[in-house]
Amino acid sequence: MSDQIKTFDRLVSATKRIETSKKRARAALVGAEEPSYLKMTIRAAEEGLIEPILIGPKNKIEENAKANDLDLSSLQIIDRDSKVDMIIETVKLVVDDKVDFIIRGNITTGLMLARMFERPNGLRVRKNILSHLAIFEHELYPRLLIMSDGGVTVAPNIDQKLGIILNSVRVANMLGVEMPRVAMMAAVEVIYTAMPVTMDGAVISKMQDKGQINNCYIDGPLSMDVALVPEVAEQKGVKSEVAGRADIIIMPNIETGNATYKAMSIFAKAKTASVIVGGKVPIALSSRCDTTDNIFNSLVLASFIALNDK
Amino acid sequence: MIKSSQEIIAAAQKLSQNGKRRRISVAVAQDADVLGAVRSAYDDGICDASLFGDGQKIKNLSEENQISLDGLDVIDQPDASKAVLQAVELASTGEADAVMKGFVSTSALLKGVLDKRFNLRAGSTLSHVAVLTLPGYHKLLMVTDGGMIVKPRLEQKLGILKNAVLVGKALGIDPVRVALSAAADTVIDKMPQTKENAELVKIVKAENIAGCEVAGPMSFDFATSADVAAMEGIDNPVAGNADVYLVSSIEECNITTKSMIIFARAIFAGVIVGARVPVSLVSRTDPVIGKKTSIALACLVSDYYRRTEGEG
Repeated sequence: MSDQIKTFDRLVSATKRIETSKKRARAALVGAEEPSYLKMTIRAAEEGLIEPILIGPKNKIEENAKANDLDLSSLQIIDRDSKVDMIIETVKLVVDDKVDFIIRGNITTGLMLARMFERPNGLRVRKNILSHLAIFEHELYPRLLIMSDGGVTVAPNIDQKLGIILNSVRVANMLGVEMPRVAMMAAVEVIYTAMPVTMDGAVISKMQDKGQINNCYIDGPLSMDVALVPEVAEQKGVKSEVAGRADIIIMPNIETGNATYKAMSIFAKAKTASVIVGGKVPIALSSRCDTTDNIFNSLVLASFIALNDK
Repeated sequence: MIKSSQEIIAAAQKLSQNGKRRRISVAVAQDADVLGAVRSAYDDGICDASLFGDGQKIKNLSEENQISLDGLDVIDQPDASKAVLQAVELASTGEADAVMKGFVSTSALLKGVLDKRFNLRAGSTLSHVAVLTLPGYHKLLMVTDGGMIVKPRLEQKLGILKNAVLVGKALGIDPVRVALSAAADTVIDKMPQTKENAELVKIVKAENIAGCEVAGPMSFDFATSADVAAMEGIDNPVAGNADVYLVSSIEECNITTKSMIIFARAIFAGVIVGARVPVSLVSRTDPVIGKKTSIALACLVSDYYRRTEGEG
């Protein structure tokens, strides 16, 4: 596991390394007038990480570029005023294989997902579930931590959780984690019939025992501290491949994922990245509480996934 | 207004210095962690304690773990269910101010607390309030309910809210600003929690609860980040300034809270409210400071009950 990626710095260098053998990841920035995204997209382009196309109202993009001292001269801009037109253009670019991933700028996730993934020409991939995936890097944890789903499926059922796990395991594999350790998060680490979340965790964990899910270890239900803190796992007597050293934590619902992500960003000052995976191409996005560095990390992660998919 | 774990402990010590030293009644006290927590609370001048449980086991544990029992009352009662009832009875007579969980399940303890003979029912929902000293936040952040109700119904959420407001008042917070959680800040059809919390805002406002400001649905960053609140520019008395983040499931509370304990180095204290006396419980995995803060918190809540008795 010596080549496992454990920091965002390593993710940047790994992304650059893939690019020497393949083409750079081409990105569509939707709602490109948003200053932070515009800035980070241009930074990623200047660092040789991506080749962006900017989609949005041209006059505003230029205005904001000027205000932020950004050079647009080498970039393609597709001038679109309405959000719906921006989305139609973006879908077209993906379908025509002109871009490898999408960056969500000044547009809401809800509108974007509803429009991009509607049939028949949308970006949905049959059998795949779309999921939001966040990665944390924190000094108190010795590896990158993947969390899902904090942004797409409101209250996933068992089948949807399986889809979320599949998406997360794929990304962990790309990061060099061959057999990722997946924790099904709950309020406790034992099974109570009165807590349906613990039952789901147990069922999925059992499916892995039975060989129905491969390429990862799964334990559930687990509480957050048992999943992530070896001393607590030991104190509570939980022995498993996953306890105390999870690579992936699967949240029971969108509210928990969302609040955890924000607590990690605001108060734990974690380095974060977030993407939507499971569609034809990954989508980089971030939350309004994220720093520009975290926006940059999201772009890098999405391009890394896109390049691995190619 | 009390703003940190240190200040919670200091406020309880001040009660003691003013002749209002609290007494906690420990049910089934043969538990090393609980004994250790009670010992340090006693030594720090936070409270007195009556320990109900198996006297021999308590003595053995105190010797094995070098926890002195000096100054603590030990009442020998080897039968656990009787020990619970005796501990609760002491609180019901007013001799003790709070009940603390020892080597007994929470449900068995609460069954004792709610036993009609003791008249400790307050007719409202029992809920657990987590009080976090959160580095980077300008005051305490309460998150509730992470212990009692798996998935509260609307009327239970109202009870949870009232309990949290009570703890807020016991901490000198006025008004107590309550954010009703969601993954969004507006009502979104696909997210039932946003609808329910929008409804709860109306109910709370109609009830006109004194000393309480409520808003929701609100996502965590909108509730707790002044930057995000300013970015949104909406006139909302809770945005960026929440005292209470009221969530909608036990998982939402437990996982979110633990993420802050593990990664943001938050100090956790907790208390169960909704009966006429607070119920304190500490977890084996809480650090000493957290356990001590939980006990001090129960003391402050019980003092608040005493001060407001008869106010209805």
